[in-house]
Amino acid sequence: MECVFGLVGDGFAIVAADTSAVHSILVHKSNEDKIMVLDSHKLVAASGEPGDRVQFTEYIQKNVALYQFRNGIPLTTPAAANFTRGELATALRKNPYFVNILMAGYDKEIGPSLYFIDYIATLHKVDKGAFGYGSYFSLSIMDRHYHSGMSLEEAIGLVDKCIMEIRSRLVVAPPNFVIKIVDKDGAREYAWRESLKDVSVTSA
Amino acid sequence: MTPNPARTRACHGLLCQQETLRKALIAQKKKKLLTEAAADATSASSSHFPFLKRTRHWLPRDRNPDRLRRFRSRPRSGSPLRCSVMGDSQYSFSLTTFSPSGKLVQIEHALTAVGSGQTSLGIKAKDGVVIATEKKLPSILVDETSVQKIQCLTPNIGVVYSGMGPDFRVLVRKSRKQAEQYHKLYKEPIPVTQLVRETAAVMQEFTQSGGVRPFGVSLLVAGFDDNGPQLYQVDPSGSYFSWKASAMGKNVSNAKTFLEKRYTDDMELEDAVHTAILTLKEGFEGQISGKNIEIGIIGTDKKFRVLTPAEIDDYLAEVE
Amino acid sequence: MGRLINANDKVNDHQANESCAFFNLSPLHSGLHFSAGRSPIPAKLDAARRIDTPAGSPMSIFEYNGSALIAMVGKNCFAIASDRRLGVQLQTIATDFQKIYKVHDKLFLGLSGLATDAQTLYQRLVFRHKLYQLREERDMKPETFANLVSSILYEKRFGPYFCQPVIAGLGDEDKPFICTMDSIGAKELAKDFVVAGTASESLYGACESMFKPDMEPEELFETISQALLSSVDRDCLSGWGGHVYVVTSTEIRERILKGRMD
Repeated sequence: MECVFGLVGDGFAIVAADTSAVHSILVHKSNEDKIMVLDSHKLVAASGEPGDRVQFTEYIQKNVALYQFRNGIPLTTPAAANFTRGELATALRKNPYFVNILMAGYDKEIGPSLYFIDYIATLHKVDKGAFGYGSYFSLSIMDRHYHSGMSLEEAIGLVDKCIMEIRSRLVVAPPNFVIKIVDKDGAREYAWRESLKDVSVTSA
Repeated sequence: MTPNPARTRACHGLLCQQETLRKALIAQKKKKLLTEAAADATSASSSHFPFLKRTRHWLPRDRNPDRLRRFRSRPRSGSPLRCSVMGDSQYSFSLTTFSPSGKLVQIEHALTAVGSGQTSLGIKAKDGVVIATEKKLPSILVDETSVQKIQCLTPNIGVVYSGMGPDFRVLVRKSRKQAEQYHKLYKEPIPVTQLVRETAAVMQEFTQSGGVRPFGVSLLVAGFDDNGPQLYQVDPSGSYFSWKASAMGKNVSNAKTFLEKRYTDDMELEDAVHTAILTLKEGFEGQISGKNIEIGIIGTDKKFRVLTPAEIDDYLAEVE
Repeated sequence: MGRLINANDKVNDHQANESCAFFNLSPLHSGLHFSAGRSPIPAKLDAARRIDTPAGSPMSIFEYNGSALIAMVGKNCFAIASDRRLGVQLQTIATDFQKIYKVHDKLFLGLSGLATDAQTLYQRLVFRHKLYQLREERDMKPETFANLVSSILYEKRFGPYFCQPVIAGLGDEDKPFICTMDSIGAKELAKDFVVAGTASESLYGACESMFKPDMEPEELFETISQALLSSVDRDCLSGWGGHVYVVTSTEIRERILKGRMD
């Protein structure tokens, strides 16, 4: 089941997410990217209802882009996180989106940051955060091994530890993960951790 | 999350309906243009409202494109039909419009109405405020006790006017409501400045809104709160000033000159009442009495009170 | 809380059903949904405020994130304190969550209950207070602010913010003022102390035995801190240290407490 987690290191923030598209007992897909590159220096890792997840993150992405178009400056990460919270909060008492979000970003003045926003629009700035069934393991692992000012190698090592723990301890563990990073050079995909490759139809 | 099928359908239906409607309207317009040359007397007679003749009354209201077009709130921009759709705004422009010289003549006329109204005045003393006005009635047959030109807005704020009585009552009603709303929200009496500002905002709104005229009154608001005694004048334009002493209505200039001579900073409420009476007396035609003037006072007890004719007569006796 | 229990008697099926519609926050496929059951805080619209936990015992929506709040009156001063945990049911998300907000130098607001509603409510109140400051060129008195909070909460009578606010401030002549209210704005004024949150039962006990009238700021700090720390140790949903403000007319003393950090 869904595992989304992230942490802030020295000059960067990392988020990782499973890549399984699951419905009921069926796995539809094992290379679904649940981490959106929101703009040049922001990442949104989302879990929750697949339809809501796609609709909502795209809605946020387009509005953040619109802001940049209109004003000529990008939203800072806290501003984007507060905007996202506001949208979730207004939707909450009308027709709520079921999406949990980890928003990671890098700003020149602020440095890297990570925001926890759950589907009921609780916003909190965190050093490390997680959603889904994977959170029971990844949060514990991060509590044990996380420290402030982690280097990239340490952070990736910690992410891998989390993934290994989820794979070995979670009965419904997803096979594949994607890891993305945001630092002063922008937001980008860092690596995949795949234990199952999708095979093409012809070779099947 | 399950999408609400009913709502989805409704939205889809609405979109379809709008699209069909738009096409229908364009077709209609084209047809109209083509047949314009051959336009007959019937359409000419109602050329300003072409849709009136065309309304298909037999269709249900909500599905009747002729009616829908009329009720559509905003014309779609860039639509070829924009001009033929009567927007709400077209016949509801403000009556108070700028003259080429940059004046708002409606407001000037309102001020004229105030200037020809009965004299009112107010004096701020160091321990209270007094407001006073003439109460000339059109006939001796009118029961003078039924006319009350000075009103309470809250227990600690009173108001008097020069100009049109009915307009004054409207303002009093709105101000009282505003004061109550403030009290309901904060459980605290509204400060004089706040009430004056709200009242002035209403008066300003009536210089800019559609289909309304400015109020034909100026107000003198007397109040006493945490900031001490206060006297404000509010004009039809919505502008307001704080005064030590002011007058308005007929004989303003005389009254103001008189007040300027008599006013001192260390005046007490009793002196202020005397000065108010003397000022009124200056421009008064006929015999002044407790029945043809009104006086309202507020002192350190922060209770605004309109004096009774008997009390006024006592003051008059002192003055003479 | 006697008032609340009385009010609860009046709840009828119609109201309960009505509130169901409003609180239907979650057709949320996470196994969470609000359902009827026992409630500690505003009992009025009680049905439909419950969350089924994985363990099966119903939990009030007020207990979703966990919180502990106290305000105490001293001699010409007051103190307000909270725990620092942000949880989602039994899982701890963060241990540096802010539950007390400064409205102005002599007025503080604590919001217990559902964290999202606390944040929304705080944003609305700050907005209203800023407008007031601009319009009236003065700060709000604590009593006035309490009435504003009450009005804003009651506005949402049939779809409330799931928060129990605590308001503490210095009024005219620096007279301390404290109060709390339920989620629909019924004020509860107190001369000594007020408490709120998931740890409120233990807080009542602690405050009741530790409070003394007319304490000086230093003693007040000691008392409120002890009351907070001993209470949160008996509550699973709050804790992870504390945040204390002691406010006098001349200074605001803010301290972070460490307690049992587990």
